[in-house]
Amino acid sequence: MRLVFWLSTLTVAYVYAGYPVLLAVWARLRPRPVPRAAEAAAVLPTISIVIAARNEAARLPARIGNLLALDYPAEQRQIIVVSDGSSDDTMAVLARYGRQVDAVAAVAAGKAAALNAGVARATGEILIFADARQMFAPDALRELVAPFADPGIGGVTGTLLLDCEASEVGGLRAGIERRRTAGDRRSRAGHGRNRRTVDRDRRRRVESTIGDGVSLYWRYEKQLRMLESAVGSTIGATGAIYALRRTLYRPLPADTILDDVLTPMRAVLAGYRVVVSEHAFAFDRAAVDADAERRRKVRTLAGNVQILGQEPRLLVPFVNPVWLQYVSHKVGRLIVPYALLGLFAGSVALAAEHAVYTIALVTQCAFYLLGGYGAWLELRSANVAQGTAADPAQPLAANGVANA
Amino acid sequence: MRSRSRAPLVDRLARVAFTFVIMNCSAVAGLVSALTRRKVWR
Repeated sequence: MRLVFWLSTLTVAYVYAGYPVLLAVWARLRPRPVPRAAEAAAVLPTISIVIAARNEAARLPARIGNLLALDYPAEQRQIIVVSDGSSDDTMAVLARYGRQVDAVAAVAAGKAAALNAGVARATGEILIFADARQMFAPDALRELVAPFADPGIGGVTGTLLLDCEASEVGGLRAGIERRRTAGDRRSRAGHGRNRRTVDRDRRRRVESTIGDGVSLYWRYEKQLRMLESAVGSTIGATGAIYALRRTLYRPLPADTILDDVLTPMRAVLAGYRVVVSEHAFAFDRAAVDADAERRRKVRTLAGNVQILGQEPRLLVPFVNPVWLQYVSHKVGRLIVPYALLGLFAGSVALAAEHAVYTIALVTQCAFYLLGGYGAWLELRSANVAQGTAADPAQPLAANGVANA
Repeated sequence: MRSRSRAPLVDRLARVAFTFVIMNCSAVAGLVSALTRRKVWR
C-alpha cells in the first residue's frame, strides 16, 4: 500500500506541479522564440477562415460582422461558413453577405465533417479555424499569422480569454462589445426563441459560481501551453482561434471529437512546431454552470482518449517530437483521477501507521469537504439564477463580468 | 455571521476545489464515453 500511496502522490505532484516547473526551467534555459506581427514579413499570407455552424442563425450576424471588421486586407481573406445540417435560418443569414462569405450547406455529419467540407473550399495559404460564438480582437488575424514567417512553424493557436477573467477581458473586449451591440440587437429582434435562450444563458452566467474555478484552471492551462510553446510545441490548440498551414491539413475522421488537438498534433508529427500567439485574442464566456462545464470536460477527456486511438504514434518516443510534453500534459490528466483514488485509499490504509499518512488523509478530507461546499455554492447560485430568470424585470447584465 | 473579508477567499477556494473534483470525475466519464463510443458531441 505504501507503494500505491507514494506512486499516486508522485503522479499527482508531477502532473500539476513538477511538469510546469520543469517547463519553466527548460523555457528559461533553451527558449525558442516566436515571431510577432511587428517582426514578421511585410507581405501578409492569404487566409481562409473556416467556421462550422449548426443552427447558429442568431449568432452569425455578430460573428461575421466581427470577422469583416478585423484588421486584415479583404482581398487576402476568405470567410467560409459550413452549415452542418442546420434546420434554422443559418443559410438565409449567410446569403445576406453575398460574395463576402462562402456559405456551404452540408448534411448533418458533425463538426469534423463540416470542417473537412470547409477546408475543401479554402484557397488561402493559412487556414484559420474559429467557432460561431467567440469574437476576435481587431488585430487577432495579423498576430495569428505572424509566426508563420518562420517556415518551421506549422500551426499557431491564439489566446482565449473567458469573461470570468474580467480584469484581462475588460479593456480588450469593451471596444468589440460596443461595436457588436447595435448589430446584435438588430439580428436578435426576429428570433424570439433564440433570443430567450441567449438571455437565459446570460442570466445564469451572471449568477454562476463555477467561473472562479474555471478561470483559475484556464489561466493555469494557458500558462502551461505558453511554456510548451516556448520550448518547442504546444500540445493542441484552442478551438476558438487557431491557424494551420493549408498544406498540413489532413481530412479529419468524421467522428473526431477534438479537431483542435488532432489537427495540430498531426502537424507536430510531420515535424513542424505549433506555437502560441499570446497576442491573438478571442473572447468567450465560461460554461454557464457546473453541468455545462462537466459536459465540456467529459467531451475533452473523451477526445483525448480517442486521439490515442487515431494517432498512436503520439505515444512513441522519438516519433513524437513532443512525447514528454504529450505524456506529461495529456496522458497525465487521464491518469490523475486514478492516482487520486490510490492516494486516498493509501492514506486510509496507512493513517494509523505514521503521521505523514494521517496528515495526508486529513488534508484530502478537508479538500473534498471544501469541494462539497463549492458544490453547495454552485447549487445555491443555480437556484438564485432560476429565480432571476423567472423575473422579467431583472436587468440582463447584473454585473460587469458578463458583458466585460 | 461570516466575516465579509474572509468569506470570499473560502468561497473561491471551495469553487476551485469543486472544479478540480469535477475535472477528475469528468476524466473518468470521458474514458468511459470513449471506450463505450457514447456520443459526446453533436
